[in-house]
Amino acid sequence: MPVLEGVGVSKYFGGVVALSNVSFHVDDGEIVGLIGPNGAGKTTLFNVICCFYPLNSGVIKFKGEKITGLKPHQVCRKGIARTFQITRSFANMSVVDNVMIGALFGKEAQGNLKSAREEAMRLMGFIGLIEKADMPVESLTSIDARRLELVRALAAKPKVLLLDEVLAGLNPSEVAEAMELIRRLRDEMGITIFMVEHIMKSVMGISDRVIVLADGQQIADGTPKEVSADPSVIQAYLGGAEER
Amino acid sequence: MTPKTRMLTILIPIFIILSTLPLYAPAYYISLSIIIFMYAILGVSWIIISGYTGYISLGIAAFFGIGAYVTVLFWTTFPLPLPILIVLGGLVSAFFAAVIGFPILRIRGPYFVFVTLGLSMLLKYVFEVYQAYVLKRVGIPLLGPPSMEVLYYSLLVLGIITIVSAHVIKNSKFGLGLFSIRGDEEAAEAMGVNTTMYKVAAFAISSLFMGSAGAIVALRWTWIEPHIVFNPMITFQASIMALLGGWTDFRGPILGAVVLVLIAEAFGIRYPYHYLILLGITLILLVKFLPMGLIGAIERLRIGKKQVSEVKDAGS
Repeated sequence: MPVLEGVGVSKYFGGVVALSNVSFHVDDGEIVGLIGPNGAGKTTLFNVICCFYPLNSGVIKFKGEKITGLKPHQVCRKGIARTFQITRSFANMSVVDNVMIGALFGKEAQGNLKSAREEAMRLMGFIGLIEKADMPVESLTSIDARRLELVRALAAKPKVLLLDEVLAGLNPSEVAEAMELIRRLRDEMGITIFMVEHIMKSVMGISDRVIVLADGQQIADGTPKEVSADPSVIQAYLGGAEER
Repeated sequence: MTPKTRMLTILIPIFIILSTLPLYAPAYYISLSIIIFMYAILGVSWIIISGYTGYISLGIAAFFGIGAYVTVLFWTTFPLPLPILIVLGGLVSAFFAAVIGFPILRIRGPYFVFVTLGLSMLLKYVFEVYQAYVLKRVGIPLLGPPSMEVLYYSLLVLGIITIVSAHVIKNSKFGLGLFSIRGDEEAAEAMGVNTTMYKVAAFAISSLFMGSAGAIVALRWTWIEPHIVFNPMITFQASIMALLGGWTDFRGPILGAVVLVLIAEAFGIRYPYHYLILLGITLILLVKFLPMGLIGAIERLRIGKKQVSEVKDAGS
């Protein structure tokens, strides 16, 4: 059964079509990659799933229940957490306080600061950020800022985690480490992963299934092998944009 | 000494001095303290919205003035006991903040600043029209106000409640939620923080204290006109005092209020224009050199020293 599902999703910004009649589903326990050329609508899709923008048409369901029209914080509390493409940590706060926000306000909204802090520390130990707990976020390196982005989302106890280019800017060994971590999130924590990624080799290597968007439309959906052999995907990536 | 016991060793003597001050101090000092208390309360309540959430409100005078007018209207028609007036002034002000907060707290950055500044001007004109056409008088005298000691103690109690509230909020789940809004509002929303409710609640709580302060101070001023209680100078002075002291916790606005009220007292009467120039220069220098205020600068020095000694320890 799909844990996350969109039917006929469309989103316009003025006259610009960002998403046009996109249907997708993500099954429980899957790792699904979302790829496509720049401007294909990948981040917009994440934004409409999280209800940052209202839809023009279509419906998005989480565990069979319609979430379209909710507020972003309600979506998070249902069990969908996200990271941002450009890391967006809470300025003027310590690293552990950033993570605590997820634990305090996410799906398992803790009422008490002490247990939220313990949970934050536990997750930071898991992800390798615990030595930086009391540092101000401004002093983190860019890879640690990405770790924080991820661990903060984990603290919200999501069922589905939307990862928006978490690998951007990492070197090859860091990418390998991150891929391993993402696999562990699924295998050990049972979190379903829906990830936008540009690094083709990684996303093809880790995903059970890949969805391809181009110009706001879904052009392919299948195993990495099927998708990489699909002529319309090759055309979308290797040109032909001018012909359309 | 833990920070908590250190804080108590500072606060308890201050509290004892302040609570006995009217017994031995001349009236002049009581009246000066009333001004300091007023600005300290306004500053501390201001940081609950502007320090904690980052929404810079220049509507202090609006909420202060509403509280003042609650006192005015009841005092002249149906005199309620002072404690009830204070609570009522705060509640009316908080209610107004909650109602107006829903639309205006959607506006971010400089636009929010201008809207809140406009709010106190708007209220000033509304009350001017009300006085001119309904009451048919320019100002309203408040006859038979309570003694200065009563007003002093009222503000002292309100001040303590305001400080404790600001402190408890800062160290609570609510406070962390407010800080996350200041840090990155959209990310906060994505992490499950109900940002709208949190902002409106912070705005209403801060207005509760501002309105209560207005309800008390109106009785000190005894002659009330809209341009007196909705005076934007109240806003500017209270917020500059908070910025001077530091806007991250309650200590800043208190320190700022003591320093600037004393400076104003020393120079303001003899050189009123020089005082305004001084205030402007203070603001410019603050933004440039002390963005976290005096308290922030002191803490940075302290942390810096600690780190230096840690490095030395590690080296030895």
